[in-house]
Amino acid sequence: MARTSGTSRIRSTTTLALVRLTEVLVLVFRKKTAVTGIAFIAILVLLGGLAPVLTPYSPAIRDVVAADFAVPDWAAPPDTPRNIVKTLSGFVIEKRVVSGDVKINVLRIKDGFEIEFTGNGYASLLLVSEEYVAYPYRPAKSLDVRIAFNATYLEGRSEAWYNVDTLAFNKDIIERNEKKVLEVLMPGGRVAKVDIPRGIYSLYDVVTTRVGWIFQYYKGTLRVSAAAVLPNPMRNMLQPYILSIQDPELRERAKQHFGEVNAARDLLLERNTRLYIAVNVTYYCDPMNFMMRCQNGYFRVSYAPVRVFIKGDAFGVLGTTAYGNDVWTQFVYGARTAVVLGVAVATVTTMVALVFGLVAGYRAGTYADHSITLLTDVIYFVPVIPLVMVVGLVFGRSLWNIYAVLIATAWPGGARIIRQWTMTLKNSLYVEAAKALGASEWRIMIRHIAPQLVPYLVYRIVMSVPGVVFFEAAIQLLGFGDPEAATWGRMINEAYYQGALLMNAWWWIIPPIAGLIMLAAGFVLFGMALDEIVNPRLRR
Amino acid sequence: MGAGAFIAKTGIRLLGTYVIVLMVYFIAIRVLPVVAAGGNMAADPLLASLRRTAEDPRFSLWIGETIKRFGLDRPLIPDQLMMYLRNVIVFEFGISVYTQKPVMNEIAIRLPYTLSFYTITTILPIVLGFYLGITAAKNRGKPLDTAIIQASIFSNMLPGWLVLLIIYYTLAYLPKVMFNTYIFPLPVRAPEIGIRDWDQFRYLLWYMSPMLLAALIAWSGGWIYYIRQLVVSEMGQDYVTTALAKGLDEKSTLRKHVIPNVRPPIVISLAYAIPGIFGGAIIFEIISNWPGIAYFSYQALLNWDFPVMSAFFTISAFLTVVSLFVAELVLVAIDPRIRTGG
Repeated sequence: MARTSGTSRIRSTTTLALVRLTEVLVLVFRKKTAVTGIAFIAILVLLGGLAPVLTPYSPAIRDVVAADFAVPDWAAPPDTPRNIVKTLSGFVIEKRVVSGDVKINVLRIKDGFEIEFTGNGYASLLLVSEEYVAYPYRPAKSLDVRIAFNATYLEGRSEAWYNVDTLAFNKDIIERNEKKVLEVLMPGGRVAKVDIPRGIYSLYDVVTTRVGWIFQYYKGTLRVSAAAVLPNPMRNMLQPYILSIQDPELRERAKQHFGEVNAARDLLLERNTRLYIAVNVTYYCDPMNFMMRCQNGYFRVSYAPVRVFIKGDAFGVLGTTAYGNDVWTQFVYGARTAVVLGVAVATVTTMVALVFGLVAGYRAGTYADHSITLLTDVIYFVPVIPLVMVVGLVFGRSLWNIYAVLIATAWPGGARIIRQWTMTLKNSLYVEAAKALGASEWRIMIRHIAPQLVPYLVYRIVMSVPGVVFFEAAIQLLGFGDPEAATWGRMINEAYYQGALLMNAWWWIIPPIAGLIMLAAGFVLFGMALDEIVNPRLRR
Repeated sequence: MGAGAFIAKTGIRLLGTYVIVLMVYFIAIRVLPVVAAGGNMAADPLLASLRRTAEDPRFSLWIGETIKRFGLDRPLIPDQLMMYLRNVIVFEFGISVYTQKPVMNEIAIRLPYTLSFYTITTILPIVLGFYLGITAAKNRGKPLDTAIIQASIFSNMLPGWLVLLIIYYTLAYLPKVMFNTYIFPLPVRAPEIGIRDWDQFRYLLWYMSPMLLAALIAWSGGWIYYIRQLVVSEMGQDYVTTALAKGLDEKSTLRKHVIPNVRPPIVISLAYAIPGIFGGAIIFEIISNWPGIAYFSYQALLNWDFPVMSAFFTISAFLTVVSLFVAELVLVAIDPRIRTGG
């Protein structure tokens, strides 16, 4: 009987606390600063919550959407290159050279093509894409062409030589027959001129790309799936042209010089021109050539559609990062992480503080209280940032490790205050009554004292959210954050270390900073309004 | 209880806590990975960091010798724990895996950088906070007071590193990139500490100025607000009314009656703010390429240099303890209640 009445009493205490909290929130909404703060928080919650709707991309580094350091779309002049994606599937034979008795069988010409060569002799086919990429902007920095083909021999029949050379070529530039003349200063003051034909560039050439391997796969099928990215970071030099220079000294000079030539920008792309993809297939089987030992050879190539991706220098709402990731996506997902994890970690920290504070306050002066005080002192002396660095070294750099360290070191401040509140609250009449009814210590703490602290706990959580987010960002800035977390901290880290400041990439550096300030302002304004209502001492 | 007893008691308490911190650190970082790996000594991060060095053929012989010499093959508890505690007391942290020099020498070279910056950034904001806080309290209710409070709340909200980043962006990188001029130097080439000649000293000040500015902007706010609240509540006390009633002007009342009463709580909260300031100073060092111990440890950590990291953690805790002890000494000096045992 006593138990039931005790339960009903407890319910009423909890309900009272909830009513009090509602009252506090109603009062909060009357304050202008608090409403501003709540508006900030609401904007961030909306951005974070609608992240998958607002952007189709992911914040991961591998999701490359445009060229590096692309400016926002709205801030770029109209002739700035934009993304162009086009798949070229139809190819037509433009030129056909056959000598000897080579039979050519075109098996399929829709959706790529498939060509069979049989017999002895020499054959060369030049296939050109039916469609073209119309290019309306000033030259873009880079050109990304995905090609895939299978080149097949039949076992035992052939040791023919072959080549499949994929070329990008700009018909308009070629028709104008322009050349890029580079003047190379030779020792002795002589100026040597090197001409590079503009409008054509070999993207993937089996023989020159894989010359060392060619004898290893002359039987069976060679599967090529290549991304020809211009300028090629691995070999940015215009190798075929340079290697064809006879004078060794000039060749060396040209090598140094052409390191700076961007093949996409300087040779292929020009405003209002047409870019085509061409494939040159060569077949050579000579029975008289004893090196080749080729008799009645066979070779087949099946070539898939080509995807051309010209990366834009202007992209989206907020441009791109140094890796070509979308800044807007990272910002929006950063808002989601900041709000969700910020509130979650702040709540956990406050709950830990609540447990320790309740125990210490309810049993003030006992062994438990003293040990909690000692623990508080010890944690106070732990240098948090060196600790996070060491933990990152030993246990790995993950978001959870960082937050674990933060929770373990951040609770004492709240616990001290909750302890004092509990010490006053435990002398209240309702606690006496609960004791008289035989409620256990934990029951009194959790069901009677804790509900009275709810407004303070809410205040505490709200006020510690900015700290949580700033802490993660600081660790990221130090380079010990989670390298895969979708947070504003990672954005700041990447921006700071990948040269956003030197490149003046304002679209990249400002959003995370602005987001952090907005989040902090939102929660601090809201929290201060709560504080004024919860602590009547400050209400003047 | 006299001042001497108070100092002795504080010293013992701080020393005890310091030793417990070191033990907790040792258990969490050295013992826990070994326990997690099922008692496999190879999981000890110190050994792991040495092994990484041993992959370099130049150091492969050196490693075995080092492990024997420093007793790293002995059981972690209690042998190595005792060794660690003893080493901490004599400031002996072994040899840096990265630079192959004694860690303590490396740290001693860099300590002046850290200490100079740390001291200045601790003192400057509190001085500014003191004056602005008292100014606000004197003008309480007036627009100046409101403005100062608003500014201090905003300042308290922002972390120092964010302000430093904004300063570097707007006042160092932006002028350099857009107009090719410098307002503040880029955080690239740190000057040497000390006064060799005027130019070098000027560069030192110039290089430090963004860091100090950021510290002032970000860390004064809390002090301004706190000191204003203290002074305002003190001024409502009876003794102030008495002082004013007997004809003392407001300025003298503040100086002779209010400020001496406000000082002890400020020193206490300074003591509690010290770890935060120290943590902030660490981030500042790394962002600004300021070659103090934090920057050095950061470099070492990128190279898996565990001895340096250990030393950094220990010295950080030590500096916190020393700062707190100094704060308590100051408290003894300015609070007569402690001196007389009242």
